[in-house]
Amino acid sequence: MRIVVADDSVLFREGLVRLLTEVGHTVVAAVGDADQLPAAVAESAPDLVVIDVRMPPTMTDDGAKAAGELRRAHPGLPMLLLSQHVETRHSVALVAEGGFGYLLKDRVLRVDDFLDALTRVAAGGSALDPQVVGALLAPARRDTALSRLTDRERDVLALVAEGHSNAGVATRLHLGERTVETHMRAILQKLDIPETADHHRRVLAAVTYLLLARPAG
Amino acid sequence: MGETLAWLLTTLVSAGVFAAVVFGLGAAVGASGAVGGGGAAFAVALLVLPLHRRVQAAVGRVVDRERYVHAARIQQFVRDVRDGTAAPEDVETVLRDTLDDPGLTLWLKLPGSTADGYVDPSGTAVAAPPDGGRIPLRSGPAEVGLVVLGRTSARRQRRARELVALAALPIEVSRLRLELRAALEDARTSRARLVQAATEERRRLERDLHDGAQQQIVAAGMRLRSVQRRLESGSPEHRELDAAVEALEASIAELRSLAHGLRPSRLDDGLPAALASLVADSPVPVRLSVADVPLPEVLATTLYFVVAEAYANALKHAAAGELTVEVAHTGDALTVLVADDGVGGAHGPMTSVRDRVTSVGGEFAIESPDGVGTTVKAVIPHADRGGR
Repeated sequence: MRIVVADDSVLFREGLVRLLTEVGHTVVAAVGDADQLPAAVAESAPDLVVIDVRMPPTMTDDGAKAAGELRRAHPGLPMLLLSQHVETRHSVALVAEGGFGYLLKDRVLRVDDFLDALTRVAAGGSALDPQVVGALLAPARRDTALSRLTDRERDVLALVAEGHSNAGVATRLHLGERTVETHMRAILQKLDIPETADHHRRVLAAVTYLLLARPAG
Repeated sequence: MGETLAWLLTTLVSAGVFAAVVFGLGAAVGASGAVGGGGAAFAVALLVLPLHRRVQAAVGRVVDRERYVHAARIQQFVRDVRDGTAAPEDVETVLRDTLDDPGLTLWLKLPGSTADGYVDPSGTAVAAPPDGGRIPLRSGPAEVGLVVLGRTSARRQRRARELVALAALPIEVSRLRLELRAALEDARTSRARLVQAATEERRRLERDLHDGAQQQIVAAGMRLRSVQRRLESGSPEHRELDAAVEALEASIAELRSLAHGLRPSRLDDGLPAALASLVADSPVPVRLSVADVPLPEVLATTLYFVVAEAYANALKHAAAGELTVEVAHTGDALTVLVADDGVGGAHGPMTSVRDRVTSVGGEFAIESPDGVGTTVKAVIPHADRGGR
C-alpha cells in the first residue's frame, strides 16, 4: 500500500521507510514535522499515514493534533500513531472510531506484529498497544463490570482490544476459533454491549467500553 | 535648666551631708578634724551619684515635666517590647505620638544596601530621605538608619535626640527583624528557583531520553531487523539477531522506566491520568478523585510525587484495606490528600516530599495515630487563572 510517514527523527524515519519498502509497501512521502503533513497527505492520497506523536514545531503532541485534523479533513483515512511512551489524551479516543492505531514506537522491532497492525488499521480495524490495554484492564478497575469476567475472558478481551481478529486471538491463546467466539459472546453480555456479527464493530464497542470505564482521567 | 538646678541641689545636699558628718562625728567622739573630714568625704562620695539621680528626677518632674513624661513613655514602650506586649516596629508611631510630630519618619538601612538605600519599618524601600531634621542612628561605627523630623527646631532636635537614644533597642530590633525577614525571603525565592530549574532539567532529560537515546536504539534495531530479513529463517545468525533485538528492546524498557523516574510521562495526559495510571496496579482498592485543572509543570510534578510517595508508603507499611487519594482545587489552593485505613504510627518524615511542597510555598502534614490509619495532606497555593 501507499504510505505517508511523519517522524522528526531522521534515523527512525529512514529505518521505517526501508522496512516498509522491503516488505513491498510504497512510501509516497516522508516528512519531519507536523506542519508539512496535511499538504503531503493531500498531494499523495495515501492508503495509510504513520505519525509520530511528538514532533516539531512544539515537540509536544503536534503529531496527535495533526492526526485529529487529518481525521476531519479525510474521514476514513487510516492512521497509525507512534509514541515514545504511553499517553492517551489525544490518541486513544480515536481508536474507537476504527481505521486507527496507537502503538509504542519500539513495537516496530516486532516486525510481523507491526506489519499485522498496519494491515488491520488500513482495513478499517484498530490496533492498540498492549501496554495501553494493560492499563485499561488494570486490577484497580476490578470494581466495574470487568470484575465479572473470568481470567480467560480477560485474556481474550485484552487481545481483542489490541485489535486482533478472532483468528488472531485463537492463534495467540492456542484456542479454537469457536471457543474464542464463545468467550467473546460472554464478554459482550457481561459488559452489556449489544451483540453484533461485525467483528470490527464489536472490537470498537469493547475498546469504547474500556475507555469510558476508565477511572478519572 | 532642670540639669543646672539638679546639680545645684545635689551640691547643696552634699555640702549639708559633709557638714553634718563632720559636725556629728566631732560631737560624738571628739575626734580631730582630720578624721571627721575624711569620714565626711567618704560618706558624700558614697551618696553623691544616687543622690544626684534622685534629685535630678525629682527636679525634672517639677521643673521640666514634659521631658520627664516623654522619656517615661519611651521607657515604658521599651519595657513593653522587652515583655513582648508591643511590636518593636511600632517605635516610629510611638516617637511620632510622643514628640507630637506626625511627619516624623524612621529610615532603616539593611546590610548590603547602597549609601542612600533606606527602607521604612515595614521593609519597603523608600526614596532618599530629605536633608533637614536628620538624626542619624549608629551601631558602632556603622550608620544603621535615620530619624527624620517633620517639625524641626533646635529644641525639638535636642529632645528628639534624647528620645531616639532611649528608643535605640526597639529600633535596632526592628532593623534586625527586617534583615531576618529579607534573608528568609531570599532563601525562599532561591529555593523556589532551584526547584523550578530542577523540574525543567528533569523534563529536558526525560525528553532527551525519549527523543534521543530511545529513538536511536529503535533505529539500530530496525537495521538489525532489515539485515535479518536477508537471512534464512531458523539459521544461527537469524536467531542471533533475534537475541540482539531483544536486548535492545530491554534497553528501551529500561530507558523508559528511567525517564519515568525523572518525570512520569503520563503527566502529558494531565494529573488525573497520571495518578490513575500510578494506582492502576494497586493490590487494594483506591478511591481516586482528582480535579482536572490546568497546572504549571512544577505543581503537577509536585502533586504527583506527593501522591506517589504517600501511596508507596501506604502500600508498604500501612496494611491498609482501602486508600483514598484526593486532589481538590478550592479557591486559591490545591489540596492533596492520601489517606489509608491501616495501622497508623507514621512512616517516617517524608523529608524530600515535604521539601518539594514547601519549596512551592505549600504546607505539608502527616497525621498517623496508632490504629486509625495515616493521612498525608499538602496544601499548595494556586490561583486558577483559567486557560491552559
